[in-house]
Amino acid sequence: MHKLNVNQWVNEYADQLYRYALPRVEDAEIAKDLVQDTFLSAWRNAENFKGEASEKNWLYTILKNKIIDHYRKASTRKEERFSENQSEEYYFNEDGHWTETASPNEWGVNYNEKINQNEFYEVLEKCKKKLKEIQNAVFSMKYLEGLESEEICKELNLTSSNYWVLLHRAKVQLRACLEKNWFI
Amino acid sequence: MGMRIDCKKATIMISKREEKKLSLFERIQLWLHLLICSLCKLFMKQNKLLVSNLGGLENNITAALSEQEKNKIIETIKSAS
Repeated sequence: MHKLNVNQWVNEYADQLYRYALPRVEDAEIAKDLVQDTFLSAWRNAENFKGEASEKNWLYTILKNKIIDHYRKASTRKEERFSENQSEEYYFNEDGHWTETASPNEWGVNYNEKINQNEFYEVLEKCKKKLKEIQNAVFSMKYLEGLESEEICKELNLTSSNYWVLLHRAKVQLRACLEKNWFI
Repeated sequence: MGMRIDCKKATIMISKREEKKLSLFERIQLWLHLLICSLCKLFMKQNKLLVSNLGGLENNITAALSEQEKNKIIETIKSAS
């Protein structure tokens, strides 16, 4: 059996795993629980660890699965699935046009450049936490995990049209939240 | 089906286009809409900026677990084994 030193292990990887989980879930407590569960699963399955992948990659694989499980659980809380934090009418009027209050404003940045601003990421993280769990799940699986839409629909048991609507709502809300909070 | 689409539909199509999930007809609809709609064009640029910078999210996090929290994890593992 692969010898594991728990203390060394946790001290070496806990922070990295925590930083990976944090932007993907709704709050710090959930991220901490996922990190602990990851170490526990790894510990219990230590005999299956063949040393083919690095310990680090192995832990990340376990954590990623835990995060997707978490999203899946979020998606089964159906009652909130299509309820909206801010109704669609806030963004689009009945003709499907942008409402005056939610119309995009020019940000005055070069849209093709990478953003090297901590402030941007702080705001983005806060905005992301305001999304509904299911919106966050769809958005994170797509853009942080890089999964294909078909895979996301399967994991979360969504129809393709539900998926596009959820992704659309997440983006429209994130955009508005960034615009409101990033450029002060 | 007409050529004209509204902004709500256009913004959904912008996401679909990222995954190459638009038919030729839809691509033309979106193209025509973006020609006349500066708001959706702006949305498209801002959306692109957002998604192309998401990779930086975890690299810009400095949060860490406290010693106590790490010790708690260690204790939990040890007591489970």
